[in-house]
Amino acid sequence: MRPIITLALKDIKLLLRDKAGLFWIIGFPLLMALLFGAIFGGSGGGSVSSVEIAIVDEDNTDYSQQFIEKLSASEMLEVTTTTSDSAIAFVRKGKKTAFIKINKGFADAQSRFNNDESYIELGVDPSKRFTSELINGMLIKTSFEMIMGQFSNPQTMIGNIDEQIQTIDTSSNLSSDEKKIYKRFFSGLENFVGGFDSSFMQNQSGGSIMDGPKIKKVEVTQDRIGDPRNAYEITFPAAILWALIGCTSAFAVSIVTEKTKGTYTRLRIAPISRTQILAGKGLACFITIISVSTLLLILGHLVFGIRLDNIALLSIALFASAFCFVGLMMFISVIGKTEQAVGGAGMAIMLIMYMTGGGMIPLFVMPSWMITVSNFSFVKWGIVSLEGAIWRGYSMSEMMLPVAVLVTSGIILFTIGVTILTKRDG
Amino acid sequence: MIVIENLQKSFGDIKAVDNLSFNIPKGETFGLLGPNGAGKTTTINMIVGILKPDSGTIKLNGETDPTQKEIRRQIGNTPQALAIYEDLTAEENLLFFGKLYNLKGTKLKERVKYCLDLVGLTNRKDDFAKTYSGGMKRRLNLAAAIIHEPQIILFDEPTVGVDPQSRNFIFENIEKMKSEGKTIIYTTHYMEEAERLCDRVAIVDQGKILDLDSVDNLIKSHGGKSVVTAKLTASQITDELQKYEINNNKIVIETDKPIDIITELTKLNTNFQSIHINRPDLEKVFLNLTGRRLRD
Repeated sequence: MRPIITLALKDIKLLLRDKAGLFWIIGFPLLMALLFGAIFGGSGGGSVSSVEIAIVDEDNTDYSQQFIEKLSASEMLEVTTTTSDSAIAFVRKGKKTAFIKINKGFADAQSRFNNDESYIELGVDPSKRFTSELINGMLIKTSFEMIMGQFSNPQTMIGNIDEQIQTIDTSSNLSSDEKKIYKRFFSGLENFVGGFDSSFMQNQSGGSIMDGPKIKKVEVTQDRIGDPRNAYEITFPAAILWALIGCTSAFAVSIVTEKTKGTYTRLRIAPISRTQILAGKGLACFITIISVSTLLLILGHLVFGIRLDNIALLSIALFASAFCFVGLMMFISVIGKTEQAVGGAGMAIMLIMYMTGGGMIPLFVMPSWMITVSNFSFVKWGIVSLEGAIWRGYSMSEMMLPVAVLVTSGIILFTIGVTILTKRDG
Repeated sequence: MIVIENLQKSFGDIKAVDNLSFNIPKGETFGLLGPNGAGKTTTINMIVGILKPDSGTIKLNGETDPTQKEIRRQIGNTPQALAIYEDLTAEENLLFFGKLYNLKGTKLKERVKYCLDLVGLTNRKDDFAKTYSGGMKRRLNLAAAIIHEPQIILFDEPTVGVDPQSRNFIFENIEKMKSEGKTIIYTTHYMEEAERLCDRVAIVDQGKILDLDSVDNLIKSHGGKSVVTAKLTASQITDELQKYEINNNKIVIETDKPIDIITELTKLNTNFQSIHINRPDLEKVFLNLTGRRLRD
């Protein structure tokens, strides 16, 4: 095993020193994922900079509607009003970043400056928790704007006080003395508001007077089986397959380069078998594929919220894809006898596979005849397995088909490649 | 140490190696001298086990299979092509090849240091091989072949495209290995190299050994006589000189004893403009054996 690792590490070191090669393996696939992700609609069709939220108005008062209108006016939020069930479902499916539920009694509590109970519920997509504070801040800001609006409109305020005085009159819980005290207080308040300079409140931050509304945070569990959260969940698997093609091509050419430069001869003379030499090359290709894919997936997860929920299935998909492309690498390395021949022919074959396999046009928008053709492309099975683990919600048994196709193809291609290479070596 | 018997290899209709046989005892430097396409590299490739002979046997230390790991550990090969990684430094190249021969730890570091010193690349050990001159690459190629201290070292035209300084460096390295008792096979089409380095030389052409012996014996057998050329002016031609054949004021004498001829000429009291001896060499041997020059 030691010679195989030595050989693999040497190849990885050589690859890391080839800046242009690295670009085609990591940089270019990433650019592709970003570009096509943006073209296909980024985070679900909306502007990337605005946060999509669903609002449920169960209070259904003028005040709550004004509140929603104010929220909608913000450029930072893209607001859709819907029912409670739909709002939660949207967030669970990843179609909205958060939902806000305005419960019954919201307007009443706001008019009394009652913050004892929470009348606003906020549920945020767990994968986009970083937006929680932003939405929270927007709710507090809007709430203060509404309160300031009340002070800036004394007539509304006086109307509210009148309503409170009437409530005191009809209350059965208060004694007549208590009623007198409260009524005296509210009458005094009515006089105060009547003579209040509304511009004073408009110039205050408000935070020092009130703490803002109590917002109840609601846990949301994800449920996105069979549906991509955003375009990046489609473009990143395709980009990973492009990275696989880059690795395959680079290592296939490196086998020929070793032969033309003479280093292969020196390796053959060393006390290691041909199998070990080729295994070393295969291991280097395998490690590179896994590393580059993992890097792209982590980046996609951190920046674009690509789901990495089912690590076990994702690992199986990645390992099977890597195995297949190592076999393909070995096969392509024997297509020609020069770097140009192998590089050219290899890229041509893999480009056709990429085009027909859903690398350029997503599989789900392909016409049926093209889907049939795509079955002959290893790229298709690679993409299907990755998508299966990321957003298609494949079970282990559903994953078996693409994995079996990839692994079997890998074995066949590797065997053909090694057989031809051995024959050529004489 | 090395026994080759009736070795044959063809590529299609072309017989690259045709019934080759020779023995090389331990510690000998053995030359394979022949023009390009004579079958030298094919022979080397069969000895190191990367080409299978069509027939015949190769015995290295009594073992008939050169692909055995233990045998491979005893062999070092300097292929004609520069078999080094240009994007690795000299030190990284040697560390890599050393590890393939199961060297590790202090032993590996010592060998890398020794080899770098031997080929004069210590000062450039951290530079990528691609930044080296052709001669330096050749020296690194040689170092990579001996990193594991092999007992048998094969040099396949190690001085092709090398500047005189590096060539000398390589010769000195080979002479040092020779003095350490290594068994060396050296292929070349430069007869001066074979004459300087080899104890015995096989003259090879079209896959066959035309003759095999020490350089002196080959010259004696096939080199012909030495040629003494004495130049003089027309006024210097005296009666005493008439016994020699004079053409264009030159006396040209073929002889086995050139020193005796020169002594005889100088006794004639004639001031010759110049006197030269052209001794036969391996080039002459090859010419006499094949009717062609070595580099035709």
